This record gives sequence, structure tokens and C-alpha cells, in this order.
Amino acid sequence: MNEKDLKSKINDFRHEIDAREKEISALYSKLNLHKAETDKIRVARDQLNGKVKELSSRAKECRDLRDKLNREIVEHKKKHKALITDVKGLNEKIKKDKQERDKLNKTANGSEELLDRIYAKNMGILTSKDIPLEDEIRLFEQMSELTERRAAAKKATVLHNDVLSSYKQLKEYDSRIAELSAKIDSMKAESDTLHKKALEAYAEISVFRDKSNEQHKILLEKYTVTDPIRSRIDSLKEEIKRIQGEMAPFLEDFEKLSQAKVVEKRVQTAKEAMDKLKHRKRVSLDDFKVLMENGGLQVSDN
Amino acid sequence: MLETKDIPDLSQEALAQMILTKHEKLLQQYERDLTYGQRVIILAEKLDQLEHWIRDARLGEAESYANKKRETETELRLIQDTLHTNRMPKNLDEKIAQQKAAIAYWKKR
Repeated sequence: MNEKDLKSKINDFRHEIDAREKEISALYSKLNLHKAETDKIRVARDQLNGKVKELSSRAKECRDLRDKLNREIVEHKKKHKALITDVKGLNEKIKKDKQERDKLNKTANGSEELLDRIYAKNMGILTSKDIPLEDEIRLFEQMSELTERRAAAKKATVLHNDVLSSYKQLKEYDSRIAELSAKIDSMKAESDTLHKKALEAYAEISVFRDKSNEQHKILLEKYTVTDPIRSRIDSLKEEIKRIQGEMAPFLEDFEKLSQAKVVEKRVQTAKEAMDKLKHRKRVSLDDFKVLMENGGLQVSDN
Repeated sequence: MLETKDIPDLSQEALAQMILTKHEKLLQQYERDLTYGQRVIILAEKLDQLEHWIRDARLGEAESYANKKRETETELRLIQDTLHTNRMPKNLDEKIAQQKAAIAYWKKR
């Protein structure tokens, strides 16, 4: 192919490439128009998702705290139940002790103090007074009975003190139970509040998630419009690559022709410069340079 | 008399033993009172006799009877003081019999 044909062929290729690049540019303009809108939608969707994430984190915090409180409530309830069991046991003991004490009081038939006094008095009479034998025998028999009654009275006193001590304990238990109940109630209220807060957060999450999904849907719809444009751009770019590939050998040939032309011109210039030098004519700096590059000066020395 | 509430409960045997000890002491006391009572009667009679002898004594004998009378008076005074302190009961024989009966009873008990 001569230079002219080559130029013509290369120009044809370049026209094809230009046409595609123009189309690509027009398609990018179209995409940019959509991009502003899709960016806006994407930002809105991401903001909504961010809100969902934030609310989810808050809901989880509430739920975790509520669960922790509930576990503590369970432990306190166990303690409460144990205290109630203790109280029941103590009440049973009081009831039993009182029954036993009343029985003993019936046997004693008098206070410990009174019985002690009678016993001491009788003892004094029996061991120091001169009284008739019949009276002595009667008092002696009474002493045996008094011993039993004193023992019963002493036991009754011990049991009575036990009952008083149990009542004191019972009072302490009541106080602890009331304290624990109040604590449980307060924790329950706190747990309920946290539960409600978590539910509220979940309700908000649901609303935001719906909105986010809506935005995402719109975004996908936008993609159905922009995706073919992008595909077209990709396809055009591929075509340009292909054309450039096809054009490459012609460009190479053209380059070679151009190079040969330059060399030929340089040789011609060198030859002309040489002639000028032979006829002692003036040589321009450029001619001299060409002459040097082609080794013309060395030829002259020979 | 014992009055404190800390009086220990005694067994019947221990109490009976205490009663027995009381009667033995009372018996000793009544028997001694009885002996003293009899001695008072003897000493009173002796004084009466000595006063009689002093009045009828020959020269040189009165002094000896007077000395004996003083000795007897001293002994009587001592006994009377003791009896006064113990407030000797009137029916000592009966009391002694009662103590003996009681001792017999409590020993068997």
C-alpha cells in the first residue's frame, strides 16, 4: 500500500473510533444525569440503614440489660422463697414451743418464782422446824410434787424465752422479706421499662427498614435504566480496542514509510551539504548536523 | 429459812437424810435439856441442904459449907443461863419420844 492508501485506511479507522468515543461521551452524560439521582437515593438508603443499625444496637443494649436484671430477679426470688420457707419453719417452731410451754405451765400450776418460794419455805420447815411427824410426811410428799412442778416451770420459762427469741427473729425476717420484695418490685419495673424501650426501638427499626427497602427498590429500578447504558459503554470500549487492533498494522506500515522518507531526505540533505563543502560553499548548522549524523565528514577526511 | 430460787432439787433420799439429821440434833438437844433440868432440881435441893447445914454448923465447918454453896450457886447460874438461852420446852419427855419416833420413821423411809 502506498502512503496515500495507508493514510486513507487509517483515517477510516479513526472516524470509526471517533464515532464510538462520541457515543461513549453522550452515554456518560446520560449516566451522570442518573448518577446524581442514584447517589441521592443511595445516601438516603444508607442513612436509613445507619439508623436501623444504631437502633438495633440500642435495642440490644436494652434487651441485654433487661435479661441481666431478670436473671438477678430470679436469684432474689430464690432468696425470697428461702426466707419464706424459713419463716414458715419458725412459725411452726413457735406454735410447737407455745403448745409445749402451755402444757408445762399447766403442769407447773404456778410461776417459777412462786414455786421456788414454796419449795424454799417447805425445805426450811422440813430441815429446821420441829413439827409433828404427820405434817412432816405430808410436806415431804409435797416436795416431790413441787420438784416436778419446778422442773416444768423452768422448762416453760426456757421455752417462753425461745418463743420471744423466735418472734424477734421473725421480725428480722419480715424486715428482710419486705426489703427484698421492694427490691424485686423495683427491678421488675426497671426491667419492664427496658423491655418497652426495646419494643419501641424494634418498632422504629421496622419503620426505618421498610423505608430503606423502599429506597433500595427504587435504586434497583434506577440500575435497570443505567445498567444497559454501562453495558453499551463497555461494548463501545471493546469495539474501540478492536478497531485500534485492526488499525495497528497500518499505522506500523505508515510509520515505516515515514521513517524511510525521513532517512531519504537526510541522505539527500547530507549529499547536498557535502557538495556545498566540496565547492567551499557555506553550510547551515542544520545541514552540518545532518552531515555529522550520516558520517559525511569522515568520508571527506578520507 | 432458805428463800433463793437457786435452791437445788433434792432427791427424796437426800431430803429424808436431812430430816433425819434434824431429828437427831433435836433429840440430842432435848436430852441435854432434860439432863440440865434434872441437874437444876438436884442443885436446888443441894443449896437448900447446904443452907441448912450452914445454919447448924459447928465452928470451923461453916466456912467449908459456904464454899460449897458458892460453887453450887455458880453451877446453877451457868445451867440456868444455858436453859434460858435454849428456852427449854416443858414437855421434854414427850418431845424426846416424838424425835425417836420420827428418827425411826425416816430411817425406814
